Amino acid sequence: MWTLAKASIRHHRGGFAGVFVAVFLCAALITAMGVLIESGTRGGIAPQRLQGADVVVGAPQAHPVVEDTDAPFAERVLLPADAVDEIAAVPGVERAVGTIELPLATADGTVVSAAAWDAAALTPFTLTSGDAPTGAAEVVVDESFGVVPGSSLVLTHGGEPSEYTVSGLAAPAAGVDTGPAAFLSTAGAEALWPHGDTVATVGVLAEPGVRPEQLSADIEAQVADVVGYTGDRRGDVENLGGSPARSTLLLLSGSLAGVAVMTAVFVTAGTLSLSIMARRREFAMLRAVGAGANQTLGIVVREVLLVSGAAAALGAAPGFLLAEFLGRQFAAGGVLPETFVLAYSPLPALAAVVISIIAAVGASLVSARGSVRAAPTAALRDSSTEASRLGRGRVITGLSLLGAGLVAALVPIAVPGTAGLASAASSILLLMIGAGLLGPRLVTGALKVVQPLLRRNPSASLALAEANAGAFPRRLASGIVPLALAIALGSVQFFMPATVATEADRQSRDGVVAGYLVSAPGTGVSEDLAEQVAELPGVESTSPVARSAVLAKAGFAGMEDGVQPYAIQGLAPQDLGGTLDLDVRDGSLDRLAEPGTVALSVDLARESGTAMGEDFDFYYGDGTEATAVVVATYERGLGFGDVAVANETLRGHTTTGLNDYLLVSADTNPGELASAVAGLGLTLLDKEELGAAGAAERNADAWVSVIAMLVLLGYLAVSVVNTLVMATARRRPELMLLRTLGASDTQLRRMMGAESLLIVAAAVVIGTVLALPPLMGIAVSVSGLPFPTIVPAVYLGLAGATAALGFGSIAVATRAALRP
Amino acid sequence: MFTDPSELSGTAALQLQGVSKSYRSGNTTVPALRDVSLAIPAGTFTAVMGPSGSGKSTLLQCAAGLDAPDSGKVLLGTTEISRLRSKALTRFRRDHVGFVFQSYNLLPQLTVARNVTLPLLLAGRGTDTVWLDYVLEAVGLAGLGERKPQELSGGQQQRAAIARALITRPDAVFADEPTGALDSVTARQVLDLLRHTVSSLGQTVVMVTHDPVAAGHADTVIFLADGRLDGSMTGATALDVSERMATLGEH
Repeated sequence: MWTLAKASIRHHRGGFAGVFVAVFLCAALITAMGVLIESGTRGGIAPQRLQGADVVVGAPQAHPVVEDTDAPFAERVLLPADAVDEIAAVPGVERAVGTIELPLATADGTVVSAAAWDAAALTPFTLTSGDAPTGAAEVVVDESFGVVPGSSLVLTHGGEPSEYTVSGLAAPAAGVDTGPAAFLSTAGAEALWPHGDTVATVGVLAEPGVRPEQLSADIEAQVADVVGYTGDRRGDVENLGGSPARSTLLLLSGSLAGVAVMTAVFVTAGTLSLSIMARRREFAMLRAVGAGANQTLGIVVREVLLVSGAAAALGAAPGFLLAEFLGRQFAAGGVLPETFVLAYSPLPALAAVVISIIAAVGASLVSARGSVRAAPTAALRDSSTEASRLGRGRVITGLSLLGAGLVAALVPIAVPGTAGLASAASSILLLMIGAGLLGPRLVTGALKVVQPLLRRNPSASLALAEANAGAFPRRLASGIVPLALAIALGSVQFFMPATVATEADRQSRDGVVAGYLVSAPGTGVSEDLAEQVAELPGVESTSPVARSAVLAKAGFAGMEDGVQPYAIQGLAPQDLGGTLDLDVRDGSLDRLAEPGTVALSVDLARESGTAMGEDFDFYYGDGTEATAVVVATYERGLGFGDVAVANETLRGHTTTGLNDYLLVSADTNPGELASAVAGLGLTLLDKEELGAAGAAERNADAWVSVIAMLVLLGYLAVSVVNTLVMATARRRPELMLLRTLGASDTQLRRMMGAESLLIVAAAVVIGTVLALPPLMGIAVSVSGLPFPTIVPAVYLGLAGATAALGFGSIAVATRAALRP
Repeated sequence: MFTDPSELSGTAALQLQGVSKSYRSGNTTVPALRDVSLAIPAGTFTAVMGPSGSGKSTLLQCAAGLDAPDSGKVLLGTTEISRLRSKALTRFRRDHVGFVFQSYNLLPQLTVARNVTLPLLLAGRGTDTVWLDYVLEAVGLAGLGERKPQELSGGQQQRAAIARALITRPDAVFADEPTGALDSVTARQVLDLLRHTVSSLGQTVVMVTHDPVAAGHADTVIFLADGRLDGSMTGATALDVSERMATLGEH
């Protein structure tokens, strides 16, 4: 049987080449997604500053979630200073050093990571000249500053400049790249550390002969509420970007992988059924010469196993390259830290090979079963055209999926917030599979619409195209479905963020009453500086804004003890009048001045079921558990974050303790104000630039989904070309016969052109119609109105690219088929 | 059949003058036709016979304008088709040549009537329904025009293919092993039909076959051996043809 399968593969080289390409690409795509998912659990940032420590100890940096990935805290969870001594007392510890981190900047805005000098041993940094800092105004820097011991250096913290004397220069151990580093004396560092008697992490040097892993376990056992990190994991606690990056990656690649696997399986199945359909006559013949139905299926499965096995194994390799490419794009888009390292193992390749083969074999079984089971004579008679009816099961499944998709798209009308949004966004998958199953039926329907037009037309090309479409709806559908999929997925992927962004922009623009925004280059703005800005001539009011993220305890959306991250801003309620309008619905933001109070967006209040005057339970970014009374609800959550508390309260729970920016309204010449602000070492943005800054931030997120989508669309493009070329090349005998009967090449090209026009038009209509319900659902979710933001240029580009793919690949394949 | 056109009394439907054709296979050149000259009068039924590899299919393809000779002239009616360029040749073939193949080569997506009128459709000519009905009637497919080809028997499909060859009122109908896939009874009906088109419709039919029985229906049988003409017989029976075939190439 294997011999028969091999001979058959050799004979149908052309058809199997198409299957090979489809499975190859499927495996590559799934491998790439697998690598990203694996990196979402195992990847991370290699330790830099704490590279010399055998064990790095930190506080638990995530909220444990039962049966799910832990939710990371947005800010540094601090350890009490006592923990350093407790850790030092653990047997096997030679030395324990508490570290703190200070965001400093040079006068020209370059960000400098600063720490106390005793933490230098954890890299290790060693003095190359001069002395260690002793006084509060002394500093040791690395050579990149271009200064010499004894010279003076201005460093700013929170925008406030301080003059330091360079006491010495230090260099890290070979091969360590930490970026610009500065070390203050212990006293100097503590003066800038806003969190009193705490440390960020504790770096541990082990006694000789002690295994770091064992030591880490000992420390965790003997000191309460600490987590030990060894090896590359130390990077996670050194750079807090690693953990959220993993979560983001997991979330992003998880949803993308869902779409990608679906698409790949869909396309591979389509290609396979196309190749099987073309060989129905052969199966009928096999049956006629006495092969049993299962025997014939056995041959088909063996063929597909051989071809897809080889293709999947080869396709896995470029999948790793694709993952690397995506990782780099994510880093460039700002979603991953530049230093984030993906985790590579054979696991994704293995999974990809298995999934691709299962998809291919499954599809071949489904599409071959019908033709193989049929009685040989009936099969021979049917083999020249296609069975016109779809199976009952297929029609019912297709219709139910379409129905379920519509319902999912409409969920935001009833369910507010993220749950509704997610439902609408994922409804496209249901709609797409439903449409895919009903494809041939849709083609027949579409044909009924255009048939009267074609019938009256005396053109031979059109008449033939119409007859072809009518006789081979499945063949036509196999071209239409992937193209429609590209348009539908592309539209949802592009216009969903656009719809959200439009609403967020609108809210920000309407909400910011202040004319200006003041920020410090590279760092935050300190409280002192905020007061200095308020006293500048012409300034009417200033309002400091600190931003962070909280984890809301979610007793909602079916999760019992889950948490949900939300953006939070710290506002100074007494100064809001002239600067910020959150469109308060209920209560008053003034009451945020009272301790233990919080304001929520209307959406969050509804989603979490928390009404005015009730308690809202959440964790601050630094892990502090909090309960606050809701004293106000406001409309503009999308533009400003869903939670608001008093400015000082929030700054106490951020690592830097600084404001992100100040909102300033002023009645003065903008030029004068700008120079006055610049005199304080700060930068001034006007309202327009403010909107642009917010948009740029959102664009980074959108850009990543665009990149991911482009990869997927690229995959679809190649697959569509593959399918169409395969389907067209197989029609060479038909084209040759027509030519013998007197059809000119122009007529044949026109006939194929008419068919591709039909394919492209149906794809554009079906794709657009499918994309609309999810987009409208999303629009309802964010703005309450069913009008998504559709960027005409993007839509036209998407439809145009799809049309070009359809026309182009059929035209090229036709030309090739007509070549003598 | 005459090898010299000057001997021809009436009009010649088809003339070949010194036609040679060879195929390249790898580095060697295989001659398929060597300096073949012949003329076929209009309104006759001619069979071309010869063993496999004798060049009979090449002869048919060159004569019908499906393939171009390396040298020599091919005249269909008064048109020298060996000089026509690809596009003009396609147009000429569509209007002046009919084909019947061994495998009936009907398009499964079209009805029988549509298949039959396909050459007219491709030529952009309207269908003369009276003529269509007459042709369908003549080939014995009256009333089956709206069926799909796959709903017909093999003999009926071949009749449909013959109807398609006749629909343009061509200068000549070329048939390549038209009975090769049919049983003897059905084959006989098809041959009778071809004979009928010659005698009552005045068609010119050139048929390639290796079956002496089929050749026995023709007015004239031309023998080919090794790419050369090897004589001809007129009014021969199947038995005569068989005997002649046995001694082919020994002259």
